[in-house]
Amino acid sequence: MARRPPWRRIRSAAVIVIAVPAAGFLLHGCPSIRDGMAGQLAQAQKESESAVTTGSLALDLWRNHKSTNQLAAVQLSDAGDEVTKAYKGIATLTADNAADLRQQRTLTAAMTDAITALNAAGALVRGVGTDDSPDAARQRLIAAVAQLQSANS
Amino acid sequence: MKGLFAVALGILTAIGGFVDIGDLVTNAVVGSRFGWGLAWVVPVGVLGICLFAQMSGRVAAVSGRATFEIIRDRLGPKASMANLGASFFVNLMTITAEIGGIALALQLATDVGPMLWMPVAAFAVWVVIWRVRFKIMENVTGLVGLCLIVFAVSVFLLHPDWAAIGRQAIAPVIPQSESAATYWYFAVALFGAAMTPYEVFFFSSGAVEEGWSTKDLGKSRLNVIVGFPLGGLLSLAIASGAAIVLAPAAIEVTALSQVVLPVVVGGGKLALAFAIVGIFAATFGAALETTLSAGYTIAQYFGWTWGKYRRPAEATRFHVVMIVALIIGCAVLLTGVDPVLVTEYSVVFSAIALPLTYLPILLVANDPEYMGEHVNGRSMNTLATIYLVIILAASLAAIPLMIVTGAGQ
Repeated sequence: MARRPPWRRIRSAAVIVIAVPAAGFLLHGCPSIRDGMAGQLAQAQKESESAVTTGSLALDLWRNHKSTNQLAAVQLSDAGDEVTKAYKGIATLTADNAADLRQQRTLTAAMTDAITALNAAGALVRGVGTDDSPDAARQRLIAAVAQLQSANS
Repeated sequence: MKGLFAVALGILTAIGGFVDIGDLVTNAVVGSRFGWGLAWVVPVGVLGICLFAQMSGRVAAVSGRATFEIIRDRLGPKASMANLGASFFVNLMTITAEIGGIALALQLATDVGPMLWMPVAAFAVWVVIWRVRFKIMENVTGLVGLCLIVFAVSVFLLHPDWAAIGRQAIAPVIPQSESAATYWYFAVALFGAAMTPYEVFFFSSGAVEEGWSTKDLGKSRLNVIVGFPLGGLLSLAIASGAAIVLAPAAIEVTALSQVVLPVVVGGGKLALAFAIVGIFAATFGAALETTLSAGYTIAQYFGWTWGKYRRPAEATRFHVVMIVALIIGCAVLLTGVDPVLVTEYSVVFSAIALPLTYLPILLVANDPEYMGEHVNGRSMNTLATIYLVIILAASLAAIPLMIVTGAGQ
């Protein structure tokens, strides 16, 4: 079997010496490793707040006859999916201190309420049986945003 | 008069056809998170695409051959295989994103889930490619795509503080809620969205389809130099709407349904109707272009018979490649992957593949064997070389930035 020329071995070694620390450095900078559980909770809170605010604005535009039933329903459904995705991202995290655990509980509870409020608003827009008025549905969404904001404080 | 009409039609088509799902999503995301802080990237990207699209159009008009045919000739099969692999992969991601975009646009109009629309969209793209003439296909989608002007109209209806917009655009500042890495990640994404590789392959292959010669060089230059920058203004309008309506409410765009919110706030239901028609036309037009580009690149590399002007029976392998690309794109979407996520990744991967696409075009445009007296001038080469440095920097920075920011989190 032919031996590899020495310059090739040097090149391979150089690639390993540069690439491995660089990959380690980059992965260390990855948000989920860098920020830990607190960072992931904050990110989930931010995403959920953005989604519920979208839902609230969508419902407001629909209530004022500026938007269509179809668009408002899609926007509320997308907002619900976004909060659900954020919920799944943090629900299985294992907290290693009491503060993170408390915040995880508060945030998941706020997210559950937000999903319920978005589903109720979606049902209202789609004309599926619900007792909520547009005003009440919007108030619930505003309350859900406030609850999410307080969950991070 | 007829010539003037053809020029006007070409320009209008270029404007309407400039925006695709990548531009729509990326500009809205950037506007909602950075305001006008990244507005400078759009003119940089537009100038770049003008430069290289014009170059590839000239290569096609002078040599009568499309870019990929010449790249294989000029660089040899091995070197051009890397180019083909990267371009085809990015193109496939873009096809997937565009089919997803059509489905999402139809969902906005009907409230019927996108999964049901995806096979319909892919089938409709195939039928149009199979049956409709190239010129009609290009003009109809481009002209209907002009409905996206409603995004610009909405910006005026929202009565923004123009002085503040000017200040932010001229002296960009990274918002406190964002990191420098995220800022540069989205700068690369926006640049990749403006300079998507399929645009030049489609442009040069389209020139061959339409039988351009050196007589058409002036018209092609005008289409690119006027049409693309005006298309770029549409991109800026999308970002501006998001910056005016979504950023102050701390809404970050993660869905296409959020992209139209500024239009609805500004113009109500009528504006929404225009926006949905425009988004549908833009994504449908881009799906046609990317699907054709998939056929073009593979057929041109392997030297197969290609072209929409030929009957499908005369270019079977070219058509089979397009059908397979559509099936793969649709299958990927039917796994349940988020089309917006595919779009976000496709524009970043576009940025990564840019040097492999644009360096060979520059080499060919300077080769007198193909170009004769129409080789690049000195100023064109200087500008193109500057752009290659920017492209290389964006390409090298894309993956590290993607990892460090968790894909823009």
